[in-house]
Parts: sequence; structure tokens; C-alpha cells
Amino acid sequence: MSFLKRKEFYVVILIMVSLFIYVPYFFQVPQAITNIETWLIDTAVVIGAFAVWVGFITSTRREIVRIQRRRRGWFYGIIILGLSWAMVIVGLGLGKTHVIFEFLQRAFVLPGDSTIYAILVFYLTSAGARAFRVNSFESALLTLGALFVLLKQAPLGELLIPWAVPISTYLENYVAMGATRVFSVSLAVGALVLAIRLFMGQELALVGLVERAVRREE
Amino acid sequence: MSVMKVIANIDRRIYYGAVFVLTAIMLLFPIGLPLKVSPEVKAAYNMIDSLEPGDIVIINFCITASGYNELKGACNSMISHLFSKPGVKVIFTATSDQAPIMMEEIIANNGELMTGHSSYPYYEIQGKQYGVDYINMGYYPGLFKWIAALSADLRGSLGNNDWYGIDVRQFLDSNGIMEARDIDLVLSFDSDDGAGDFMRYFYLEYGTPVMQSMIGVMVAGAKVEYNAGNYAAIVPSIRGAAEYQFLADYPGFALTQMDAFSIIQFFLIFLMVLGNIGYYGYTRNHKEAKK
Repeated sequence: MSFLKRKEFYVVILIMVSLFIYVPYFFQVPQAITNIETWLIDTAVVIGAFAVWVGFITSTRREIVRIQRRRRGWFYGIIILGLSWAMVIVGLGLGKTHVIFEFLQRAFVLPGDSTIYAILVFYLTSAGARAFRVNSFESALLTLGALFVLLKQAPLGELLIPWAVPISTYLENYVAMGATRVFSVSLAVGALVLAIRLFMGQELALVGLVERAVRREE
Repeated sequence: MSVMKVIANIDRRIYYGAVFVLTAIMLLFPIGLPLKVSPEVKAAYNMIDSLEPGDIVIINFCITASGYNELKGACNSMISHLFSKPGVKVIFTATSDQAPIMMEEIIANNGELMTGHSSYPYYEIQGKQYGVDYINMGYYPGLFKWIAALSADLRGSLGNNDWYGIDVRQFLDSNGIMEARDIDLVLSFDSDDGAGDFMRYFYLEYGTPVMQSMIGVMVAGAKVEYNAGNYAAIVPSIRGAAEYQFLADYPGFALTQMDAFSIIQFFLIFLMVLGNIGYYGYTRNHKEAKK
């Protein structure tokens, strides 16, 4: 099993997997290759599902240490541990559609998550008064843009100030789209570069080999 | 103390209180401000309205609890409209772990328990019966990885059993649902980018139209995709939901929320102006005087 320690083994896996994933996306390939691609993607889904356990176990260890050492907020650690383990035990023991499991979701997860998101509106309004200061040409442009978009978004704005609508539409359809496309195109080019680097066996960080490679060079 | 100093130093708790009071008043006593329907929402309405008998639709919930209240209006009105179309078959999926519970709530909101049944999943929505006209496949982990797998191997990735463990092969076989290209429309309700992945793996690969209803922070990105033709239609946030409810004649909460939405947007503009008056009238001079 010494080959498992060899860098080349992982590089070959990396190259093979990236070839089987990238090539069928861009080109017509025989069904056998598509089947391998499908199997690899399915495997990634399964591994991803199991990775949740890594997060859960890490979180449990972290909270136990916090409680043992009586760190700030340790009491909340008890609640986190209690609720997360309750979800796991009930979910695995009684099933994901059981009334108790659904109760835990409805009673704790949904209201908690919704409340945190809803609180944002208060911070946003406060930020509206404090952040949009016109103290330079750039900030004036930003504030004007925000003003027009807000006027268009609010139905009342459309009614009272109809001339703001075409300006806002222009900002959304041209200025925002132009800027977003810069990101999209950069992202796509970046993905292609990553694919090429993977084919060449240059992207070793994905299999945790960068540190070892650096050490060897040293 | 000068007026400018007062304006520049308004306690933020006053802002919070004002937002709370204004929202509460507008929700309790809506005045019914006029609403203009945007082309993208009209496109969504037309797309659902033009569905033919035998069309297969995937309704995906990529919603977390945080975005649920924002998307509830669109979920209710669009699903109700879609289920009113005769002969259309629906597959519910979820790409967020919190979503199944919300999916059940939306189904229950728009339907009623089928005769002889007392619990999920047996709800009848506008004459459409569970297992005959629609199925609920529940949550799949992996988000884009699962959507990519679904595109490559639809039946294999969906599996044979629904969220409740019921065998759905009969439903899939009888409606000829074998591969991704058999899907005629994907509708995704998103607080994460489920529709973006469906667009990449369904629209770009098979030309399957993808529609998205998304939370406010995702609207700018979604509009870019819509303008580029990657999304067939979009229903942005509560505003889009209200427009859809107006079009579909669905008496929903999103329409009521629009008044509060308008007032808070104007309050935000007012605060932006007020903040600048305070800045130029006091803060800036005060800082310069200190120098």
C-alpha cells in the first residue's frame, strides 16, 4: 500500500477525475465515459452528505471544550449540543418526517433563522442614514444610484416619480449587468484555467499536496 | 444644541422604533397603493399559463427559513397557478435541508387532505392528487453536485422512493419521465442559487426553461441572467410575488406587504437625505473645526 503515500498516485486520480468531469460537459463522448462521469458526480454527492458528519462532530468537540473550560457563552454551548443531538437522535431514531422532528424544526430552526434575517431591516435603515454620505464624487454616484433603484423598487416611487424608472432600469440593465458580467466572465475563465491546471497536474492544493511539494523544494 | 447637531446625532434606536411602527401600521391598515407589473413577472405568469397537458415541471425549493417569509407569497401564488393547469405533472424537490417542512406548508396551504387520508403527503391541490399528478421527493444533499447528477441521470438521482418512502416508479414510468430532457420547466424558489445550477445543467444542456423566484439580495444577479436570456422568467422577492398575486388574482399576503415595503423604502430615502443634512450641517464642520 506504499503507493498511497506517493504524490503521483493522487495527481493521476486528480487528472483522471477532472478529465471525466470536464470533457463530457464540453464534448460529445461515448456513453461509457458519460456513465463514469455520472458515477463520479453521484459519489461526490454521497461524500458531501457524509462530510456533514465531520462538521457535526467538530462542532460537538468544540462545544464540549468550551463548556469544560467555562469559556464566554459556554451556557449557549449546552443549548447547541442539546438541540443538535436531539435533532440527530430524533431524526435517525424516529425518521425525518416524524412529528417530533418536524416540531423541533418548526419550534427552533424556523423562528430562529427567520428572526436573525428579519433583524437586518433595522440595521439596513440605520446604515442608510450613516453609510450613504456624499463626501466624494464616487460616493455621490453610489448614493444617486441607490436612490434611483430604491425609487423604482417601491411601488409608491414608481407612482410619484415615474421619471426615475427608466434611469433605474438603465442602471440595472446596463451598468449593473456590465459589472456583473465582468465577474461572470472572470469566473468562467478562472474555471477553465483551473481545469487546464488540473489536467496538467499543477493544482495540488485540492488533494492537500501543496505543503509537501513546498517542503521537498526546500 | 443646534438643530443640525440633533439631526447628526439621532440615536439609532429611534430609527429602529420608527421602522417597527411604520411597518406595523402599514401591515395592520394597508391602503392598497397601486402596483405596476414588471415584464419579467409577466413572462413568468405567461410561461406557467402556457403549460400544456402532459408537461412535466420540477418545482425546487432551495429555501432556508431566513428567506421563507420573503418567498412565501411567490410560492403560494405560483404553485396555485401551476396546479390550476390541467394535465401538468409536478415533481417537488428540495436542495436545502430546511426546505421540506416549508414545502409541506405550501402544499397544505393550497390543498386539502385527500379522502381517506389524514396526513402528508396525501394532499389534493386544485384537483391534482398526490402520486397521480404530483410527487414530493424531498431533500437531496449536494446542491449543484446533485443537480449535475440529476441532469446526467435523472431517474438514478431522483431514486425510486419519495420523501415519505413511497414508491414513485409508477408515477415516473406512466408519465414517461426517464431523463432530464423530459422535463419541460424548472421553477426554483431560492434563497441559495438552485436556479443557477438548474440553468447550467438543464437550460444550457437541454434547453429546458428555468424560472427563479429569489430573495432580495439575489435580485441583481438574477436580473443579469434574465436579461442574458439564461432564465426564462424571474419573480423577484416580495415585490415580484405581489405582482404575481395581482396577475393570478391570488388574494395573498405579498400584496398587503407592498404598502409597508413602499413606506420603508421611502423612509430609507428620507434617512439617506437626513444623514447627509446632518453630515454637512454639523459633523463635517465639527471635524474641520477640530483639525
